[in-house]
Amino acid sequence: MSNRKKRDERRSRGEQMRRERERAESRRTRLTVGAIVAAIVVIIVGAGALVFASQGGGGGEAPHSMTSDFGIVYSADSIGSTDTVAGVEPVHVVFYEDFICPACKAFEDQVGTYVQDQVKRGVISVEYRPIAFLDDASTTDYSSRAANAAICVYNSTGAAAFHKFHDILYANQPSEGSAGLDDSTLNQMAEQAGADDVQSCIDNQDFSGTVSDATDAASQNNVVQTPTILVDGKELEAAEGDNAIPTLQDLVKAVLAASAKSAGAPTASPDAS
Amino acid sequence: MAVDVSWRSRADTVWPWVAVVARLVLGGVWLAAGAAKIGDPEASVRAVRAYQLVPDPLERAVGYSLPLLEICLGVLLVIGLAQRLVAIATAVLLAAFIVGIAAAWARGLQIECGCFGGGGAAVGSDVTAGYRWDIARDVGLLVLALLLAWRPTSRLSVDGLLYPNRRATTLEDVSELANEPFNAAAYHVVDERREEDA
Repeated sequence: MSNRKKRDERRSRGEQMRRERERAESRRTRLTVGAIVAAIVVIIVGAGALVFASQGGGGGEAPHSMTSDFGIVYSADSIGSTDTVAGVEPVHVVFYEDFICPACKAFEDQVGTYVQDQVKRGVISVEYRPIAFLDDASTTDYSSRAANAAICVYNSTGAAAFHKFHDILYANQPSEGSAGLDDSTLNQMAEQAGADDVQSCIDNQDFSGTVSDATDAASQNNVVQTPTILVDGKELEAAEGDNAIPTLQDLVKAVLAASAKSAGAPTASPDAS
Repeated sequence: MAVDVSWRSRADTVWPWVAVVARLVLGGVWLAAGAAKIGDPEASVRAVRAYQLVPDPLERAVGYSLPLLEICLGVLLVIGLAQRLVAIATAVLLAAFIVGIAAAWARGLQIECGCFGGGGAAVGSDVTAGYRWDIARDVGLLVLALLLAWRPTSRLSVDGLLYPNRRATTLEDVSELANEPFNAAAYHVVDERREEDA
Protein backbone atom coordinates (compact mmCIF):
# COMPACT_ATOMS: atom_id res chain seq x y z
CA MET A 1 0.00 0.00 0.00
CA SER A 2 2.63 2.46 1.04
CA ASN A 3 4.87 1.26 -1.73
CA ARG A 4 2.17 1.88 -4.31
CA LYS A 5 1.59 5.37 -2.94
CA LYS A 6 5.27 6.11 -3.22
CA ARG A 7 5.32 4.82 -6.76
CA ASP A 8 2.36 7.02 -7.67
CA GLU A 9 4.01 9.99 -6.10
CA ARG A 10 7.21 9.34 -7.95
CA ARG A 11 5.35 8.95 -11.18
CA SER A 12 3.46 12.22 -10.79
CA ARG A 13 6.67 13.99 -9.86
CA GLY A 14 8.22 12.56 -12.98
CA GLU A 15 5.25 13.71 -14.97
CA GLN A 16 5.60 17.22 -13.57
CA MET A 17 9.30 17.34 -14.35
CA ARG A 18 8.64 16.17 -17.85
CA ARG A 19 6.05 18.88 -18.32
CA GLU A 20 8.42 21.53 -17.03
CA ARG A 21 11.12 20.25 -19.29
CA GLU A 22 8.74 20.45 -22.24
CA ARG A 23 7.72 23.96 -21.34
CA ALA A 24 11.33 25.08 -21.16
CA GLU A 25 12.02 23.34 -24.43
CA SER A 26 9.11 25.04 -26.13
CA ARG A 27 10.30 28.41 -24.87
CA ARG A 28 13.74 27.69 -26.29
CA THR A 29 12.30 26.61 -29.61
CA ARG A 30 10.12 29.68 -29.77
CA LEU A 31 13.19 31.86 -29.29
CA THR A 32 15.11 29.90 -31.91
CA VAL A 33 12.29 30.21 -34.46
CA GLY A 34 11.91 33.90 -33.71
CA ALA A 35 15.63 34.50 -34.07
CA ILE A 36 15.90 32.66 -37.40
CA VAL A 37 12.83 34.42 -38.81
CA ALA A 38 14.23 37.79 -37.71
CA ALA A 39 17.63 37.00 -39.26
CA ILE A 40 16.04 35.99 -42.59
CA VAL A 41 13.86 39.11 -42.68
CA VAL A 42 16.82 41.38 -41.87
CA ILE A 43 18.93 39.79 -44.62
CA ILE A 44 16.19 40.07 -47.25
CA VAL A 45 15.22 43.64 -46.35
CA GLY A 46 18.89 44.67 -46.27
CA ALA A 47 19.58 43.11 -49.66
CA GLY A 48 16.41 44.72 -51.02
CA ALA A 49 17.48 48.13 -49.75
CA LEU A 50 20.82 47.69 -51.55
CA VAL A 51 19.02 46.73 -54.77
CA PHE A 52 16.74 49.77 -54.45
CA ALA A 53 19.67 52.08 -53.72
CA SER A 54 21.51 50.86 -56.82
CA GLN A 55 18.61 51.87 -59.04
CA GLY A 56 18.58 55.27 -60.68
CA GLY A 57 15.06 56.39 -59.89
CA GLY A 58 13.97 59.94 -60.63
CA GLY A 59 15.83 63.20 -60.44
CA GLY A 60 18.15 64.99 -62.79
CA GLU A 61 17.13 68.10 -64.62
CA ALA A 62 14.54 68.03 -67.38
CA PRO A 63 15.04 70.38 -70.34
CA HIS A 64 13.72 73.79 -69.27
CA SER A 65 11.34 74.05 -72.18
CA MET A 66 9.47 70.91 -71.17
CA THR A 67 6.15 71.52 -69.42
CA SER A 68 5.81 70.92 -65.70
CA ASP A 69 4.16 67.59 -66.56
CA PHE A 70 7.19 66.56 -68.61
CA GLY A 71 5.52 67.31 -71.93
CA ILE A 72 7.11 68.40 -75.20
CA VAL A 73 5.03 71.07 -76.91
CA TYR A 74 4.54 70.48 -80.62
CA SER A 75 2.66 73.54 -81.84
CA ALA A 76 2.66 76.09 -84.65
CA ASP A 77 4.73 78.29 -82.35
CA SER A 78 7.26 75.67 -81.36
CA ILE A 79 7.91 74.60 -84.97
CA GLY A 80 7.68 78.12 -86.40
CA SER A 81 4.80 77.37 -88.75
CA THR A 82 3.61 80.23 -90.97
CA ASP A 83 0.47 78.47 -92.26
CA THR A 84 -1.64 79.30 -89.23
CA VAL A 85 -5.30 80.14 -89.54
CA ALA A 86 -5.92 83.66 -88.24
CA GLY A 87 -7.96 84.16 -85.08
CA VAL A 88 -7.97 80.55 -83.95
CA GLU A 89 -6.98 79.58 -80.45
CA PRO A 90 -5.33 76.13 -80.66
CA VAL A 91 -7.00 73.30 -78.75
CA HIS A 92 -4.63 71.73 -76.23
CA VAL A 93 -4.16 68.01 -76.81
CA VAL A 94 -2.01 65.74 -74.62
CA PHE A 95 -0.64 62.39 -75.77
CA TYR A 96 0.79 60.06 -73.16
CA GLU A 97 2.83 57.61 -75.19
CA ASP A 98 5.18 54.68 -74.72
CA PHE A 99 7.29 53.99 -77.78
CA ILE A 100 7.00 50.20 -77.54
CA CYS A 101 3.22 50.25 -77.07
CA PRO A 102 1.48 48.74 -80.13
CA ALA A 103 -1.76 50.62 -79.41
CA CYS A 104 0.22 53.88 -79.47
CA LYS A 105 1.55 52.99 -82.90
CA ALA A 106 -1.92 51.98 -84.12
CA PHE A 107 -3.31 55.29 -82.88
CA GLU A 108 -0.41 57.25 -84.32
CA ASP A 109 -0.85 55.55 -87.71
CA GLN A 110 -4.43 56.78 -87.76
CA VAL A 111 -4.04 60.32 -86.50
CA GLY A 112 -0.46 61.20 -87.52
CA THR A 113 -1.27 63.15 -90.69
CA TYR A 114 -4.24 64.93 -89.17
CA VAL A 115 -2.21 65.97 -86.12
CA GLN A 116 0.66 67.28 -88.22
CA ASP A 117 -1.67 69.32 -90.47
CA GLN A 118 -3.71 70.81 -87.64
CA VAL A 119 -0.63 71.71 -85.66
CA LYS A 120 0.79 73.57 -88.68
CA ARG A 121 -2.52 75.41 -89.09
CA GLY A 122 -2.57 76.27 -85.42
CA VAL A 123 -5.85 74.46 -84.80
CA ILE A 124 -4.35 72.18 -82.17
CA SER A 125 -1.27 72.31 -80.02
CA VAL A 126 0.01 68.93 -78.92
CA GLU A 127 1.87 68.12 -75.75
CA TYR A 128 3.68 64.78 -76.06
CA ARG A 129 4.42 63.17 -72.75
CA PRO A 130 6.75 60.23 -73.43
CA ILE A 131 6.65 57.76 -70.54
CA ALA A 132 7.94 54.28 -69.79
CA PHE A 133 5.11 52.08 -68.57
CA LEU A 134 6.26 49.05 -70.52
CA ASP A 135 9.90 48.43 -69.64
CA ASP A 136 8.83 44.85 -68.95
CA ALA A 137 7.81 44.48 -72.59
CA SER A 138 11.43 44.42 -73.78
CA THR A 139 14.51 42.78 -72.36
CA THR A 140 16.49 46.05 -72.42
CA ASP A 141 14.09 48.64 -70.96
CA TYR A 142 13.46 49.91 -74.47
CA SER A 143 10.57 52.11 -73.30
CA SER A 144 12.88 54.10 -71.02
CA ARG A 145 15.73 54.25 -73.54
CA ALA A 146 13.49 55.38 -76.41
CA ALA A 147 11.80 58.04 -74.25
CA ASN A 148 15.22 59.24 -73.10
CA ALA A 149 16.42 59.44 -76.71
CA ALA A 150 13.32 61.43 -77.68
CA ILE A 151 14.01 63.95 -74.92
CA CYS A 152 17.68 64.10 -76.03
CA VAL A 153 16.57 64.98 -79.56
CA TYR A 154 14.15 67.61 -78.28
CA ASN A 155 16.73 69.11 -75.95
CA SER A 156 19.41 69.41 -78.62
CA THR A 157 17.36 70.27 -81.70
CA GLY A 158 13.80 71.25 -80.76
CA ALA A 159 10.19 70.24 -81.29
CA ALA A 160 10.27 69.69 -85.06
CA ALA A 161 13.18 67.25 -84.84
CA PHE A 162 11.53 65.56 -81.87
CA HIS A 163 8.40 65.03 -83.91
CA LYS A 164 10.30 63.59 -86.83
CA PHE A 165 12.15 61.25 -84.47
CA HIS A 166 8.85 60.27 -82.87
CA ASP A 167 7.52 59.26 -86.32
CA ILE A 168 10.68 57.28 -87.08
CA LEU A 169 10.43 55.48 -83.72
CA TYR A 170 6.90 54.32 -84.52
CA ALA A 171 7.83 53.35 -88.08
CA ASN A 172 10.52 51.08 -86.62
CA GLN A 173 8.70 49.96 -83.50
CA PRO A 174 10.18 46.74 -82.11
CA SER A 175 7.72 44.03 -81.10
CA GLU A 176 6.83 43.42 -77.48
CA GLY A 177 8.99 40.79 -75.85
CA SER A 178 11.98 41.57 -78.06
CA ALA A 179 15.23 43.25 -77.09
CA GLY A 180 14.12 46.50 -78.69
CA LEU A 181 16.42 48.70 -80.75
CA ASP A 182 19.92 49.26 -79.44
CA ASP A 183 21.37 52.66 -78.57
CA SER A 184 23.39 52.97 -81.77
CA THR A 185 20.26 52.38 -83.85
CA LEU A 186 18.44 55.00 -81.80
CA ASN A 187 21.31 57.38 -82.45
CA GLN A 188 21.20 56.73 -86.21
CA MET A 189 17.48 57.38 -86.21
CA ALA A 190 17.99 60.59 -84.23
CA GLU A 191 20.51 61.78 -86.82
CA GLN A 192 18.04 60.88 -89.54
CA ALA A 193 15.55 63.17 -87.77
CA GLY A 194 18.10 65.96 -87.95
CA ALA A 195 19.28 65.90 -84.36
CA ASP A 196 22.74 67.24 -83.57
CA ASP A 197 25.15 65.48 -81.32
CA VAL A 198 22.87 63.31 -79.21
CA GLN A 199 25.01 60.17 -79.10
CA SER A 200 26.39 60.68 -75.60
CA CYS A 201 22.97 61.76 -74.32
CA ILE A 202 21.50 58.51 -75.68
CA ASP A 203 24.37 56.30 -74.56
CA ASN A 204 24.54 57.74 -71.05
CA GLN A 205 20.76 58.08 -70.73
CA ASP A 206 21.14 61.68 -69.61
CA PHE A 207 17.40 62.06 -69.13
CA SER A 208 16.64 58.71 -67.48
CA GLY A 209 15.72 60.57 -64.29
CA THR A 210 13.34 62.77 -66.27
CA VAL A 211 11.73 59.71 -67.89
CA SER A 212 11.29 58.14 -64.49
CA ASP A 213 9.77 61.36 -63.08
CA ALA A 214 7.52 61.70 -66.13
CA THR A 215 6.29 58.13 -65.71
CA ASP A 216 5.62 58.69 -62.03
CA ALA A 217 3.79 61.95 -62.77
CA ALA A 218 1.59 60.18 -65.33
CA SER A 219 0.67 57.52 -62.80
CA GLN A 220 -0.13 60.23 -60.23
CA ASN A 221 -2.49 61.72 -62.82
CA ASN A 222 -4.31 58.36 -62.86
CA VAL A 223 -2.98 57.43 -66.28
CA VAL A 224 -2.88 53.62 -66.33
CA GLN A 225 -2.44 52.87 -70.00
CA THR A 226 -0.96 54.20 -73.19
CA PRO A 227 -2.05 55.87 -75.31
CA THR A 228 -3.99 58.16 -73.01
CA ILE A 229 -5.19 61.26 -74.81
CA LEU A 230 -6.48 64.43 -73.20
CA VAL A 231 -8.35 66.97 -75.32
CA ASP A 232 -8.72 70.31 -73.57
CA GLY A 233 -7.96 68.54 -70.30
CA LYS A 234 -10.59 65.82 -70.75
CA GLU A 235 -9.68 62.19 -71.37
CA LEU A 236 -10.60 61.11 -74.88
CA GLU A 237 -12.86 58.04 -74.74
CA ALA A 238 -13.38 55.68 -77.62
CA ALA A 239 -16.93 55.78 -78.97
CA GLU A 240 -16.64 52.04 -79.51
CA GLY A 241 -16.48 50.99 -75.89
CA ASP A 242 -14.47 50.55 -72.76
CA ASN A 243 -11.38 48.77 -73.92
CA ALA A 244 -11.06 50.22 -77.41
CA ILE A 245 -8.40 52.68 -78.51
CA PRO A 246 -9.87 56.03 -79.58
CA THR A 247 -10.01 56.50 -83.35
CA LEU A 248 -9.27 59.47 -85.60
CA GLN A 249 -13.01 60.28 -85.62
CA ASP A 250 -13.08 60.34 -81.82
CA LEU A 251 -10.17 62.77 -81.79
CA VAL A 252 -11.56 65.04 -84.52
CA LYS A 253 -14.96 65.17 -82.84
CA ALA A 254 -13.43 66.09 -79.48
CA VAL A 255 -11.20 68.76 -81.07
CA LEU A 256 -14.13 70.32 -82.93
CA ALA A 257 -16.24 70.36 -79.76
CA ALA A 258 -13.43 71.98 -77.77
CA SER A 259 -12.69 74.57 -80.44
CA ALA A 260 -16.37 75.47 -80.77
CA LYS A 261 -16.44 75.99 -77.00
CA SER A 262 -13.38 78.23 -77.00
CA ALA A 263 -14.68 80.17 -80.04
CA GLY A 264 -17.90 80.82 -78.11
CA ALA A 265 -16.19 82.01 -74.97
CA PRO A 266 -14.50 85.25 -76.18
CA THR A 267 -17.73 86.59 -77.78
CA ALA A 268 -19.56 86.11 -74.52
CA SER A 269 -17.15 88.01 -72.30
CA PRO A 270 -16.90 91.35 -74.20
CA ASP A 271 -20.68 91.60 -74.02
CA ALA A 272 -20.53 91.32 -70.27
CA SER A 273 -17.93 94.02 -69.79
CA MET B 1 -13.60 2.43 -35.19
CA ALA B 2 -10.73 0.47 -36.62
CA VAL B 3 -11.39 1.85 -40.06
CA ASP B 4 -11.45 5.34 -38.65
CA VAL B 5 -8.07 4.90 -37.01
CA SER B 6 -6.42 3.48 -40.12
CA TRP B 7 -7.87 6.30 -42.22
CA ARG B 8 -6.50 8.78 -39.75
CA SER B 9 -3.09 7.28 -39.62
CA ARG B 10 -2.95 7.20 -43.39
CA ALA B 11 -3.97 10.87 -43.52
CA ASP B 12 -1.28 11.51 -40.92
CA THR B 13 1.39 10.03 -43.13
CA VAL B 14 0.16 11.54 -46.40
CA TRP B 15 -0.68 15.04 -45.23
CA PRO B 16 2.87 16.12 -44.31
CA TRP B 17 3.83 15.45 -47.93
CA VAL B 18 0.81 17.30 -49.29
CA ALA B 19 1.83 20.16 -47.02
CA VAL B 20 5.28 20.14 -48.62
CA VAL B 21 3.69 20.59 -52.04
CA ALA B 22 1.44 23.38 -50.72
CA ARG B 23 4.45 25.11 -49.19
CA LEU B 24 6.49 24.88 -52.37
CA VAL B 25 3.63 26.10 -54.57
CA LEU B 26 2.83 29.07 -52.33
CA GLY B 27 6.50 29.84 -51.68
CA GLY B 28 7.32 29.58 -55.37
CA VAL B 29 4.51 31.99 -56.28
CA TRP B 30 5.68 34.51 -53.65
CA LEU B 31 9.27 34.28 -54.82
CA ALA B 32 8.29 34.69 -58.47
CA ALA B 33 6.02 37.64 -57.67
CA GLY B 34 8.59 39.33 -55.44
CA ALA B 35 11.49 38.77 -57.83
CA ALA B 36 9.48 40.18 -60.73
CA LYS B 37 8.75 43.36 -58.77
CA ILE B 38 12.01 44.00 -56.97
CA GLY B 39 13.94 45.04 -60.08
CA ASP B 40 11.49 47.86 -60.79
CA PRO B 41 10.00 49.14 -57.53
CA GLU B 42 8.71 52.26 -59.31
CA ALA B 43 6.48 50.01 -61.42
CA SER B 44 5.30 48.38 -58.20
CA VAL B 45 4.39 51.83 -56.85
CA ARG B 46 2.46 52.58 -60.05
CA ALA B 47 0.63 49.26 -59.79
CA VAL B 48 -0.38 50.05 -56.20
CA ARG B 49 -1.52 53.52 -57.29
CA ALA B 50 -3.54 52.11 -60.19
CA TYR B 51 -5.90 50.39 -57.75
CA GLN B 52 -6.77 53.77 -56.17
CA LEU B 53 -7.22 52.09 -52.80
CA VAL B 54 -4.10 53.01 -50.84
CA PRO B 55 -3.91 56.62 -49.56
CA ASP B 56 -1.43 58.74 -51.56
CA PRO B 57 1.28 59.13 -48.89
CA LEU B 58 1.45 55.34 -48.41
CA GLU B 59 1.60 54.32 -52.07
CA ARG B 60 5.38 54.53 -52.24
CA ALA B 61 5.93 52.65 -48.97
CA VAL B 62 3.53 49.87 -49.99
CA GLY B 63 4.99 49.63 -53.50
CA TYR B 64 8.53 49.27 -52.20
CA SER B 65 7.82 46.93 -49.29
CA LEU B 66 5.47 44.56 -51.11
CA PRO B 67 8.19 42.73 -53.09
CA LEU B 68 10.30 42.41 -49.91
CA LEU B 69 7.36 41.00 -47.96
CA GLU B 70 6.64 38.55 -50.77
CA ILE B 71 10.23 37.34 -50.88
CA CYS B 72 10.33 36.94 -47.08
CA LEU B 73 7.14 34.85 -47.12
CA GLY B 74 8.46 32.86 -50.07
CA VAL B 75 11.74 31.99 -48.37
CA LEU B 76 10.02 31.07 -45.08
CA LEU B 77 7.54 28.82 -46.90
CA VAL B 78 10.19 27.08 -48.98
CA ILE B 79 12.39 26.29 -45.97
CA GLY B 80 9.34 25.60 -43.77
CA LEU B 81 9.90 27.85 -40.79
CA ALA B 82 7.16 29.18 -38.47
CA GLN B 83 4.76 27.54 -40.83
CA ARG B 84 1.41 28.33 -39.25
CA LEU B 85 2.29 32.00 -38.80
CA VAL B 86 3.59 32.27 -42.36
CA ALA B 87 0.57 30.43 -43.76
CA ILE B 88 -1.75 32.84 -41.96
CA ALA B 89 0.21 35.86 -43.24
CA THR B 90 0.03 34.39 -46.73
CA ALA B 91 -3.73 33.92 -46.46
CA VAL B 92 -4.22 37.49 -45.21
CA LEU B 93 -2.14 38.99 -48.03
CA LEU B 94 -3.91 36.88 -50.67
CA ALA B 95 -7.29 37.90 -49.27
CA ALA B 96 -6.21 41.56 -49.52
CA PHE B 97 -5.19 41.03 -53.16
CA ILE B 98 -8.50 39.37 -53.98
CA VAL B 99 -10.42 42.27 -52.42
CA GLY B 100 -8.23 44.77 -54.32
CA ILE B 101 -8.74 43.10 -57.70
CA ALA B 102 -12.46 42.65 -57.12
CA ALA B 103 -12.75 46.31 -56.13
CA ALA B 104 -10.91 47.41 -59.28
CA TRP B 105 -13.18 45.20 -61.37
CA ALA B 106 -16.34 46.45 -59.65
CA ARG B 107 -15.37 50.08 -60.19
CA GLY B 108 -14.64 49.43 -63.85
CA LEU B 109 -10.95 50.35 -63.65
CA GLN B 110 -9.01 49.36 -66.75
CA ILE B 111 -5.87 47.98 -65.14
CA GLU B 112 -3.81 44.82 -64.94
CA CYS B 113 -3.14 43.39 -61.55
CA GLY B 114 0.63 43.95 -61.48
CA CYS B 115 0.85 40.71 -59.53
CA PHE B 116 4.03 39.65 -61.28
CA GLY B 117 5.60 43.00 -62.03
CA GLY B 118 4.43 45.67 -64.41
CA GLY B 119 2.98 48.98 -63.35
CA GLY B 120 -0.70 48.09 -63.62
CA ALA B 121 -0.85 49.40 -67.18
CA ALA B 122 -3.45 47.48 -69.11
CA VAL B 123 -1.66 45.86 -72.03
CA GLY B 124 -4.24 43.40 -73.26
CA SER B 125 -7.62 44.55 -74.47
CA ASP B 126 -9.71 42.23 -72.30
CA VAL B 127 -9.11 43.35 -68.73
CA THR B 128 -12.22 41.54 -67.47
CA ALA B 129 -10.75 38.17 -68.43
CA GLY B 130 -7.59 39.26 -66.61
CA TYR B 131 -9.53 40.07 -63.43
CA ARG B 132 -11.38 36.76 -63.57
CA TRP B 133 -8.21 34.71 -63.97
CA ASP B 134 -6.32 36.67 -61.28
CA ILE B 135 -9.10 36.16 -58.76
CA ALA B 136 -9.46 32.45 -59.60
CA ARG B 137 -5.72 31.94 -59.12
CA ASP B 138 -5.62 33.86 -55.85
CA VAL B 139 -8.64 32.00 -54.48
CA GLY B 140 -6.92 28.69 -55.28
CA LEU B 141 -3.78 29.84 -53.50
CA LEU B 142 -5.85 31.11 -50.56
CA VAL B 143 -7.38 27.64 -50.12
CA LEU B 144 -3.89 26.11 -50.04
CA ALA B 145 -2.73 28.70 -47.51
CA LEU B 146 -5.72 28.05 -45.25
CA LEU B 147 -5.13 24.29 -45.38
CA LEU B 148 -1.53 24.88 -44.43
CA ALA B 149 -2.55 27.19 -41.59
CA TRP B 150 -4.98 24.56 -40.36
CA ARG B 151 -2.45 21.71 -40.41
CA PRO B 152 1.08 23.05 -40.78
CA THR B 153 2.72 19.69 -40.10
CA SER B 154 5.06 19.18 -42.98
CA ARG B 155 8.01 17.09 -44.05
CA LEU B 156 11.32 18.54 -45.22
CA SER B 157 10.96 21.63 -43.10
CA VAL B 158 13.12 23.60 -40.70
CA ASP B 159 10.24 23.37 -38.23
CA GLY B 160 10.62 19.58 -38.48
CA LEU B 161 14.33 19.88 -37.67
CA LEU B 162 13.60 22.07 -34.67
CA TYR B 163 10.97 19.64 -33.33
CA PRO B 164 12.41 16.29 -34.35
CA ASN B 165 10.29 14.26 -31.91
CA ARG B 166 6.98 15.95 -32.31
CA ARG B 167 4.21 16.09 -34.77
CA ALA B 168 3.39 19.55 -33.59
CA THR B 169 5.12 22.19 -35.62
CA THR B 170 3.83 25.43 -34.28
CA LEU B 171 4.41 27.27 -31.10
CA GLU B 172 0.73 27.14 -30.22
CA ASP B 173 0.65 23.38 -30.59
CA VAL B 174 3.68 22.97 -28.40
CA SER B 175 2.33 25.10 -25.60
CA GLU B 176 -1.00 23.28 -25.85
CA LEU B 177 0.76 19.96 -25.52
CA ALA B 178 2.60 21.14 -22.46
CA ASN B 179 -0.64 22.06 -20.75
CA GLU B 180 -2.61 18.97 -21.72
CA PRO B 181 -1.41 15.74 -20.21
CA PHE B 182 -3.83 13.72 -22.28
CA ASN B 183 -2.57 15.19 -25.53
CA ALA B 184 0.97 14.92 -24.33
CA ALA B 185 0.45 11.22 -23.77
CA ALA B 186 -1.10 10.88 -27.20
CA TYR B 187 1.87 12.53 -28.81
CA HIS B 188 4.28 10.35 -26.95
CA VAL B 189 2.53 7.38 -28.46
CA VAL B 190 3.05 8.95 -31.84
CA ASP B 191 6.69 9.55 -31.00
CA GLU B 192 7.16 5.91 -30.24
CA ARG B 193 5.52 4.97 -33.52
CA ARG B 194 7.84 7.32 -35.36
CA GLU B 195 10.79 5.64 -33.71
CA GLU B 196 9.47 2.28 -34.81
CA ASP B 197 9.13 3.61 -38.34
CA ALA B 198 12.72 4.72 -38.25
